[in-house]
Amino acid sequence: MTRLTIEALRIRHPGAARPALDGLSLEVRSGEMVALLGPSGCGKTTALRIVAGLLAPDSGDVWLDGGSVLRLRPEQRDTVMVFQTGQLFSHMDVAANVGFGLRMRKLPRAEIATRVGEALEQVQLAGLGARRPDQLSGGQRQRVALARALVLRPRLLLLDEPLSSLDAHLRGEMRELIRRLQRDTGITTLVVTHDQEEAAVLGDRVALMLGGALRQFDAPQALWQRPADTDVARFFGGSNFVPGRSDGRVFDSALGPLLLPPGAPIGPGCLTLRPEAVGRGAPDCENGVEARLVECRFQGLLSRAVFDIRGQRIEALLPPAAAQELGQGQLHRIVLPRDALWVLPDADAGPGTTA
Amino acid sequence: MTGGARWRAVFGAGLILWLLAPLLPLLVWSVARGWFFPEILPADLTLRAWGRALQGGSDILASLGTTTVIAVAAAALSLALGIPAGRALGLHRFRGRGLVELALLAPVIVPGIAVGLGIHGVFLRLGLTNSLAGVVLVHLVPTLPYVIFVMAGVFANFDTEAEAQARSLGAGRVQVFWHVTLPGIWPGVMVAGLFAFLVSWSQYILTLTIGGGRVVTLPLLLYAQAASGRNDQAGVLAVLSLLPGLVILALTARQLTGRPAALGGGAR
Repeated sequence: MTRLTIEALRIRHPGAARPALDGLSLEVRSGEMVALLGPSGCGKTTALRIVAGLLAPDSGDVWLDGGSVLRLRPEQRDTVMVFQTGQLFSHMDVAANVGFGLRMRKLPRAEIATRVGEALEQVQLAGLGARRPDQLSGGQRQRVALARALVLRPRLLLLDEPLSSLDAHLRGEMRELIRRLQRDTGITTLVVTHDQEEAAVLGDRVALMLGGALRQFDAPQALWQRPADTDVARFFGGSNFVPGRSDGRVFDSALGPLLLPPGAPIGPGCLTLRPEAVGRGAPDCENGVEARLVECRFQGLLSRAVFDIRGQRIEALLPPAAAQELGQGQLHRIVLPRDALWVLPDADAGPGTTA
Repeated sequence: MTGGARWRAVFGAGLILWLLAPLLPLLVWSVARGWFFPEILPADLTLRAWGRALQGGSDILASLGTTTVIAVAAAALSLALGIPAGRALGLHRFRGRGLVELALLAPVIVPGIAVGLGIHGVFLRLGLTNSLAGVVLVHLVPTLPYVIFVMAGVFANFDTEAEAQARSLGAGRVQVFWHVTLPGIWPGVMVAGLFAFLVSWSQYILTLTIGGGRVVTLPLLLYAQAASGRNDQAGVLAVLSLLPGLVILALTARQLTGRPAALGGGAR
């Protein structure tokens, strides 16, 4: 069992104006799977390559348990990275691919054969050892790549967007497989993804990176329900930001006084709630407000309704049937449920503050 | 056979004739006992020239050995130098890249006699003239550019992520080269190596200047025999000179083009 500690990693790619990583620190507990989530270009794959030893940082350090591995070459680190495209060696059959790392470690043939067989069974590809990579489907290739890493029983497993090259219907299946294998083997794992849902399902904890730095690192639910700031909230699809002041119990703003859940911070802040939490309210429900419907657009599963409350804009995602009944330009009673409210520390919530 | 395929076959046959016809008289000369105007074919055929060439201790057999050793060594050396150089050119954009490419092309553009005379002075001081080693080294001048440019093209399409993946799976640099890089670039290595071999095999001027007549390769013998009017011997030498090219073409047509007969046109 291995603990990974990433300490203040900083790197600027040659010719780039801004550093790709600007002081990234992160700790993955022994046996844990952490999802490193962020938009493309936020530096998450760069971080993974540094941990794998394929890239040297300008400064910072990488520790496995008590020791720094920064001076070790990639083949000496006992960490295995699975690439986004799978990177199967096309001149070797499946069994030779899976056994590659074991052959490089010069293990006896018989042991290699046994372990390759076991690994293929783990990823449900038993009996396909003689296939060539070009005879496999995309999902099978990705599973071979996974088996090739797991067969080495590494101290640390690094997965770079393991699902992004797969069709949508294969993703769910592969996601469950990765989740299950990680639980079974207990290998400490860092998985990079740009997909929020993937991060939520795979990660015991999710580390959100924006602009080369860690912005929030917590259990998946916490990132959605208690974002650290407006950038994080926006990344997860948050669109409602109301500046005002909290006294710990009530939030005072253009919307009028709204009751807060217990534990809310005190002082000037920015109220946020997810658009899908907004509902239609009964006449005297808690946290109900009169709102004028400005716009309503059907967009599939849910319709997006935009309300105006004394100059403050609130977006709601409503079931299409409920949205259809709403008259444009009319006043409606909507409810901002107490438990869905969250107060962000910064009062600066104007549009365009996203990094 | 469709009309298009038939025309392709005719065109292919014409092309083969066009390329091979000029070589036929050489074959005829090698078995002729005199061949005079206006005879279409020589009146008398004999294997005397071949017999003399292939008997033990003949200068032709000796030079066949010398030429082979030099060509193999030149090909191996130019691969050893050209693979890393081609990798750098193919994978990296760097300042002065255009200049490097021009410098590499220069020996192909500049006449061999100029290159040979220039290098002769240097080799004289290094004690490399009149030696097999010197000839091998000077053959790198024309072979290396071919190898480097072929390999640069190969590496331009090479995915270095495969190497990164192998490193991460526990392979050291040398293991990565043997197990991942080399299999990936193998067709290119074959082409480059065969190019280098053939270029060295048919080298005349550079062998003459640096070898000083002591290192006798097939082309040297061929010129000598042709100049002294020994057409039967020259015919034998010419056919022997052509052999590796034809053998290599036959052996590798399948590998290089992905089908059995590279020149076969419609015949598949």
